[in-house]
Amino acid sequence: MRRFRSSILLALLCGSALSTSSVSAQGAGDLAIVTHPGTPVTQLTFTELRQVLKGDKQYWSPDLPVVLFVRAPTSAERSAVLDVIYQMSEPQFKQYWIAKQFRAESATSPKNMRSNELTQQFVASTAGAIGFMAAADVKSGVKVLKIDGHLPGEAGYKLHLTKTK
Amino acid sequence: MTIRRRLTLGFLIILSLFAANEGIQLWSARLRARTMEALGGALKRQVLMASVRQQIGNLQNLMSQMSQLEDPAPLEHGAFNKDIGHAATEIHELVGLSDEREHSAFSELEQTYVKLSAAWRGFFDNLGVDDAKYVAAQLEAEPIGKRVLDQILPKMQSQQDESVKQARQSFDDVTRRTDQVSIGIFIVSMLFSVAVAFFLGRYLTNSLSELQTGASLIGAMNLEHRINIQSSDEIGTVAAAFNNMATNLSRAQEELTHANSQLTARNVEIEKEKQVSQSLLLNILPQQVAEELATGGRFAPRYYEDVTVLFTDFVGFTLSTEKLAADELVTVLHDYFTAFDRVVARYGLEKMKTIGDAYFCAGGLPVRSPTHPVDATLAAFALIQEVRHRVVPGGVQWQVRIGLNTGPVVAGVVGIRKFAFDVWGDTVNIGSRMESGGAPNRINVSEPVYRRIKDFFTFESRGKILTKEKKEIETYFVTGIQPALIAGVDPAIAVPPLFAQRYRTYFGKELPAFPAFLINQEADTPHIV
Repeated sequence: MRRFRSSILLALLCGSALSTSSVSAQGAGDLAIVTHPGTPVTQLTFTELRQVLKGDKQYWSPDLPVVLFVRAPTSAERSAVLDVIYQMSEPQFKQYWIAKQFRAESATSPKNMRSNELTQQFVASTAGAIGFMAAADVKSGVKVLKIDGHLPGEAGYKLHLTKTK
Repeated sequence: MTIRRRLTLGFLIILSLFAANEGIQLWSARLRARTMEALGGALKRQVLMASVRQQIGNLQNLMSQMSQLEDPAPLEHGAFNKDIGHAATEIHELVGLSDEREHSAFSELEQTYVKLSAAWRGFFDNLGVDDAKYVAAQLEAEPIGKRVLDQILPKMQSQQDESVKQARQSFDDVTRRTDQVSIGIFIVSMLFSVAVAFFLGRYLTNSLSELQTGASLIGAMNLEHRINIQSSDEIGTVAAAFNNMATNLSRAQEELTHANSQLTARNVEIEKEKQVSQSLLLNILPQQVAEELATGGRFAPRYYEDVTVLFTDFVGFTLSTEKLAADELVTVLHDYFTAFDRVVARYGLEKMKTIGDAYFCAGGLPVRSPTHPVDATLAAFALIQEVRHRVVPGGVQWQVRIGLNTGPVVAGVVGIRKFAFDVWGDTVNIGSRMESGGAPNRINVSEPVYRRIKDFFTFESRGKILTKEKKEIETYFVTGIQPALIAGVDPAIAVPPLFAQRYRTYFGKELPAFPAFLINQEADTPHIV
């Protein structure tokens, strides 16, 4: 019921043109991958998503760098991403980025967002931004990417706030 | 041009080349110093850029790390501001060190850093205070820092690398050009030095050789030779001096030759005059006496222990003086005495003097000889013969008395004008006495003469006579040659061999002459009047 209401609400708020309109109410427990609306992608494979989030792919296009926003530690979204995508613990995650920076493999580091609202705000306002947040908190102004062809709430979507095995 | 000027000019040119080389070295050193200065500036800028790059990178990393903190607290800004300010100072210093070409890039860096530092300050000011602001500041700082680190600084670094490369290239070019020019000048200097040394040395050597040859030829009295060096330098001056010397020597030689010719002619004249004088002197003096007088200026009186004196006196002269004119008488006397002189000379006697019609000669002086008694006797016979063969104008036949004596005398030359060689002593007086006590066409000799010639001649004793000193002396007329010495001798033979043989045996000398008429004594006996 809740998932349904959210879908209706999103559909009303964003209209059919926005990707978020495709997030169904069933995706409320899912983890949505959101980008700045100007980002030239609408979907990613899981592998591509992993490359982007791990900083291995740093540009959307030659003039558009990837700006990565992550949720702050202890958040459920961060835990889900560390488990499913990074497959690292928190210390491993930090060590990974420190090493990446000191090896000059990445000029930027993920920006910690204390809330989904803040994530929503920065992703919506930062060109090339990509972040993740609870699909239920997604508002208009960002673009929800399909992962392996599925939007949050759709069957086969792999990113969930609740770890599924 | 003189050699000194040539050498001076050559050395000046060489010195000029070395000075040019030194100038090029100085210019090169200045260029290299300037290049080194540029290189040092570029290196300093490189160091500063590395420092800036490091600091910006550190601050960027610091910002990234700080952003990963779970629950960051507000920061003490002093340390960060200090780092940010320090980087700004270094960037400002970089701008100050930049040249015109680099200035725009450095200014861009400075302006970009202003934005970057503002973003950093926004990050650090809001970290732990306002998440949205510090993330916004980080989002602003990251691309700026990335542009600085990935674009601006590498571009500037590339410019600095290019500057360093150009500075090094310039340094190498200047060094290479300087080395090439220096080596070129050095080679030119060396070639010029060698050329100067070679040509000047060859010129000097040839000239000196020419001078040496000329000096040798002139020294060998080849005075017509001239040194063929036509130059206005010192060598030419020496050559001209040599040639002048040769000319003067040639002229002097000609004058000397002329003078020698004149001297030779004069010597010939002197020699002739000397011979005339000598002849005249020998007419009045014996040769030995004349030579001694000529050599020492005087003839010292000397004692002759064995001399034969011969005196003659004409019988009939006084009568002739009454009949003949004086000049005719002198002519007659000259004819007689000329004949006497020849006879005396033929028998090696020395004419002493004539006194009126008397004739005085001697044998055994001035050269001592043991033959003088025989020689004087033979001469006496010859004198009588000469008188017998002559007739005085007017038909008068003169006769002659001859006296001989042998003994010691003192001989000498007295007086300084019209001096004459003369003898003194009893021997002379007795000889005169022998003449005066003799008889016409007879040879009256004293006892000493008789003893010396008795083996050659025949005699007729006359008994004793008294001298002025009242001394008694045995006297003899010489009547002829010992018959044994001329027996069987062909009258055609001039000298009887036995006589000559005895003469040679007694005296060890050859007979000087012999009166041939004595061989035929019977037909032509001198003492027969």
